[in-house]
Amino acid sequence: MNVKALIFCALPFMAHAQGFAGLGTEVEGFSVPQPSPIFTFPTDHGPHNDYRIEWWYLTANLAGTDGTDYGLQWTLFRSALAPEEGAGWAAPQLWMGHAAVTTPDAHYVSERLGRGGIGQAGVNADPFVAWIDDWELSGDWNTLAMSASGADFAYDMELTAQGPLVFHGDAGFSVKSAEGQASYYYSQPYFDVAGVLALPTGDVPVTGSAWLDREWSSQPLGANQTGWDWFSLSFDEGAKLMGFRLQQTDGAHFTAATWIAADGATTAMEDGAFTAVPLDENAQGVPVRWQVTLPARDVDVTVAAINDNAWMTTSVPYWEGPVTVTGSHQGRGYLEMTGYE
Amino acid sequence: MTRVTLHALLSHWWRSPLQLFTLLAGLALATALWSGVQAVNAEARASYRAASTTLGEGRYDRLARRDGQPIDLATYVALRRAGWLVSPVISGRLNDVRIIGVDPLTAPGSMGAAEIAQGADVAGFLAGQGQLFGSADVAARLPDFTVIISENAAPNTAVTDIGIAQNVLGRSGEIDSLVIAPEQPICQGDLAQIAPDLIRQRAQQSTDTAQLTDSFHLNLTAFGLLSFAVGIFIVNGAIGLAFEQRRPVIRTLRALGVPLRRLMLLMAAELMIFATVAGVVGVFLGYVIAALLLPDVAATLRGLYGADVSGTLQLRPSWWVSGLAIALGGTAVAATGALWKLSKMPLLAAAQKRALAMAAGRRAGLQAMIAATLLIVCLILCITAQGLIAGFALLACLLIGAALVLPFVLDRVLSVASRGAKSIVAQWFWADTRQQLPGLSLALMALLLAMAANVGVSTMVSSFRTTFTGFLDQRLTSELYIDTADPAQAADFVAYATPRVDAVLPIMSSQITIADHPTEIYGTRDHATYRDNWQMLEAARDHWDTTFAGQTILLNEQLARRGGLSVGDYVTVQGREMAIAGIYGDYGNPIGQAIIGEALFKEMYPEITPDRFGVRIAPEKVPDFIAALNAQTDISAAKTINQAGIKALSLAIFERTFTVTTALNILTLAVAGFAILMSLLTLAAMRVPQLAPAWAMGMTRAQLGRLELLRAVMLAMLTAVIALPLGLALAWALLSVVNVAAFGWKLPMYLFPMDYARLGLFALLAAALAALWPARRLARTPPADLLKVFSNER
Amino acid sequence: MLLQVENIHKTYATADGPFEVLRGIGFALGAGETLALTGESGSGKSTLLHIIGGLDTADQGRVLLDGSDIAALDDNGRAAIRRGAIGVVFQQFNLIPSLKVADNIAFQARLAGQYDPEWTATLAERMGLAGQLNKYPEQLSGGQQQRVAIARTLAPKPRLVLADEPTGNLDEDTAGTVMDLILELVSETNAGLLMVTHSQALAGRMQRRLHLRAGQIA
Repeated sequence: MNVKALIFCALPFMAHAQGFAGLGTEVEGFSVPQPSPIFTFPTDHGPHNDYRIEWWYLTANLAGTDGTDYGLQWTLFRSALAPEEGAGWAAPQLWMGHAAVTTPDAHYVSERLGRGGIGQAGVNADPFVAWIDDWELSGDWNTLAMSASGADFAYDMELTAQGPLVFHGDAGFSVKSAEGQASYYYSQPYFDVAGVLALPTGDVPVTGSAWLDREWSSQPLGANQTGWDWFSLSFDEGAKLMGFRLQQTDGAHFTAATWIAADGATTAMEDGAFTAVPLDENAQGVPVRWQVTLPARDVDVTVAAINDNAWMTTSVPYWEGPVTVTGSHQGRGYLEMTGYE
Repeated sequence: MTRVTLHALLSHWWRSPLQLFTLLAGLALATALWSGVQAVNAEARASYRAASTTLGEGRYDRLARRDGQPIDLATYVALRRAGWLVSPVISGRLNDVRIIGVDPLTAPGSMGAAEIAQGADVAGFLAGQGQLFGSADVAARLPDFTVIISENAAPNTAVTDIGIAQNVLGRSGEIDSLVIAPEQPICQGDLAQIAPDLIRQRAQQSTDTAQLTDSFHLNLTAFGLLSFAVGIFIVNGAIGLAFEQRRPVIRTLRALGVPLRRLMLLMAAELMIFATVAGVVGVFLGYVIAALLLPDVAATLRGLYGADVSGTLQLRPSWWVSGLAIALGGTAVAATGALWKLSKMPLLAAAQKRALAMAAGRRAGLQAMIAATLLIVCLILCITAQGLIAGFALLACLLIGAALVLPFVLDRVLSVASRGAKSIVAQWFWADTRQQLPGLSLALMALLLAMAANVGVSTMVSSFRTTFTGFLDQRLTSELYIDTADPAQAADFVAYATPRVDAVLPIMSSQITIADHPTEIYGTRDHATYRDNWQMLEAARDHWDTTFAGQTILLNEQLARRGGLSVGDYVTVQGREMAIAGIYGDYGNPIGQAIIGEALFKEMYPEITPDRFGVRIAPEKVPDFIAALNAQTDISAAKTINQAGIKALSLAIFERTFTVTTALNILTLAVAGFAILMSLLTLAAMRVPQLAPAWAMGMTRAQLGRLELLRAVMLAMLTAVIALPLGLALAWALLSVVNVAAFGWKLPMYLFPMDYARLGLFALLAAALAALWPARRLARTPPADLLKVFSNER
Repeated sequence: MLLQVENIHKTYATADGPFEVLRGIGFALGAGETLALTGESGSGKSTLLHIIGGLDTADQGRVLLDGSDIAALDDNGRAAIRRGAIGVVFQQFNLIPSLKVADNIAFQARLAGQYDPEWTATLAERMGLAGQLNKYPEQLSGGQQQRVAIARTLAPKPRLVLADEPTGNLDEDTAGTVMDLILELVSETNAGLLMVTHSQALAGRMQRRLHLRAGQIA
């Protein structure tokens, strides 16, 4: 075990003591999300240091000029050792960045670690900028510039918002378990994207759409929840669906979903309204084809990975990659699966 | 029944405490020898590993300020934000402990000391609560800090978070250097623009020292192996005798109704108890030996690394386990044979002496056959052996084969000698010696192995030292070496130094591939420095002339071996066919190396300008020159390397290696001497009936005693004569097979006749000392005891 | 019947080929009976004694002790018989040199789990060994050593005593005394005694006598 893994053991990202990555562990001193929140922007685009974990999570479905599908991920996690910010090396905010590019036959991953307090990583609400090392996501949320690089890939993207922010659950209070664990959760699923992927095979100009999630909490999972399957699907006719299925140690599942109409109007779905059933596994035993239904909206679709091997070989390993949607609705989307180690 | 039988078995030892002592002492000494060598080895390795894994020091390239000043935080963050994956390091001393501060989130690879501290309060480590990772001695020296003890931590070093280190060292905000991760993103800012003050320091050629140390360890490992062999022979002898002496008692016990299986079980249990006791004593003795030797080993390694190596010994559980395992395992191996013989022993002491003699003859024949087979395998391996395992197999075959063949050879020699004997006493002496040989053969085998080991290892170490000293002379010929930062500084230096010194020799190199092997090619100026000092293993005529003229190339041994190249072959360099004019020894270098003339190098690599220089200057002028250089140019003293210092250090290291080797030599011989003593003492009782007739027929007891002493010395001398070629063969195998397999280069073998003569003398002395007491005892045997032989029909 | 020996055959391999040392021996011995086994050297006396004592095995035939066959037992079974039921007095004494006289006398009885301190003390007393109990065997004379061996044999009160030239290493006077003791003690314990001897005088003191010639009872 190397020291980084050791250190992240102590972090919510990583500890397997309870739930996945310690997200089911209760920690004293941190704030807890409350129902019916009122958000203030741009302040709430920035960090909430009194909550234990937080992320800025962007996924994008892209296409090259030849029609080849690509997936892209840019993520910044914040993990707090204490509910405060400080300056210098002893500051208690730690940051972890994940970037990935998925092609039909390759998956490039990079990870960065750093701490707040010295300027190596952080998020500023106004003007908005989220960064770790040379990776950066910045702009006014109508337009954003985004870049990241690894040992074998890099990208540079421009994002333009084509719709409003979307709030999940009860106006952004997203319940994650029957015991009431919850997080604050909103998204901007309407970005148009254009930019260049630098891959070992050469530079690839791409366009497509992106979905940016913002979520923060202190203990978002129940103690008996071991991982999740999370779907963000954009249907060709304009509507979108965010749904997730939380795995429990007793074999049961807790599901929640948000139906986003083409005009941006949202409907939160109760536990059980959304279902996701694995169809096929990849060689590693991770399900890469799913039957997803939302009977309330006549959704019955097959979700299939564009590249089965989108495994994130990061400190906390998980599966994250672009998918196609067929069946009652057609479209594209992203799938994230955790707890399959 | 068990208690009564055990009582009867154990009562033997009460009545013969000397036998008990020899058995226990033999076992304990064998264990001590083994565990002592292992302990030294393990401790040295552990220290080395800890030292080298702490931050992987020297393994990575670094960025540091050109002027040697600390780097500020802003520069670090600017580099990170420009895509440079660098990690800050600070180090300093507090209470004589080296404090190393790192940022665990960005440090590349593993971080030695902290690595094993699982379950530590890691959040505390990061959040500035003051945890340090270090060994127990560090904890003692830093009483004001929370030191998390880590057994494998580098000695005298504490690793902690950089923020804590800055506070502890009173150097807030400062960074000494930035370690560059081996894998960098594809997009990066220009270093010269972001941090113009920083220069990149290449990773130390740490392979040099690593290989050196590996050689040193190989040395000790070989010794460990040999000491193990010696130990096994001693244990085997001690146990064989313990069984032999009690043969009649065992028979009586069985006749009185003790079942065979119960008897064997009890004897096995008895031996295991002895082995445990002796093993514990042996491990302690080994610990003492190691503790006495370790300061030298530690000093050796400290010299090699310039890093702290703990000079004190930690009692590691692995030694206890391995030491006891050797005692118990060796006993078990020896006892299995003895117990098997016991189980086959007829219940009735039938007058089948002839059958027994026939069985003994068959056993001797079998042993000679096994020995012959092993020696043949050994010969085949000499020719075919490749790789480390084959090398060690060769060593094993050679040693065991030679040991097993020893009784046979001695028997032949004695038989020839007895034929030449004229006087009746001489005839009796030779015949009697032959008769005694089986009882002494195990002890003599141990002596043979001990002597061969000493000859072999001394030869190896001395050859190593001789070769390496020569190599240092060759490689560090220039009195002074200068590193310059950039071409401008290099030009300044050349301009400054040229009129003030005897010669300035530029050192230029480039990475290329020759015969599919990665190679560093050097362009070398035509100067006597090279012609006079470089030793070629193989060379064409006028090899320096043709090479400096740009016509030929010189290769190091590694490259020649790997590429199957020899002098006269052609290699392709930058599309040009060049003949190989010479092959030179290059010890401690893992990759290929080649030398061409300076002019040709500049033609082939016009973009490379030299940044290192060797300076030829009278040694006494060196300090003044350095002082003037520092004062008048921007080259700091840190960039000058005084080769005299390096050489002196290296030589000191080998002196220490030598001390360790000598100490082990004497110890091994002492143990072998003890084996002889033991055998003679236990044989003494059986000797009485053999000697009584000689006494009765008119030889005095003093005469008999002198002959006993003479016999021991003579057998030791014969053994020594056989041990010398065996030891040389051993050295050859170590240098030419094992070393080549391990490191890719062959050490030339030198002979040290004076050393061997001294060793032989020690061996004879050991044998004479061992025989002295038994001989005196014999000379003083009361006549009544001798008479008993006749009065009592045994 | 205490001991029944039936049709014992035994052959040794020698340099000159197989040699049949016992050719169908049979006899019986009751409790309290004494029997002398005489014959020339090589007539098979000792071999027969060893087979009866479970020290050796016959090629053919049965040795019944209280009706059960010793020859049919395995090594452990024969060892048990040797410990408790049968006592053997050897010509070479076979004492354990590292044990004191007292321990030697008690040894077999302890081994068999039939140790009776009073009886053992009585034996030592009557063998004239009372003053020697703390000595080691090598400190005793031959006659004394043989008396230790006899005491050791009788200590567990075996039902059958086998003796192989028990006085062969002793002078005539001592031999006579030792023999008196053996006969006295055997008759007291109502054991059977089978003694191999060269001596006509000794043989004459037994109730019966068997003479072996060329492996058969003459």
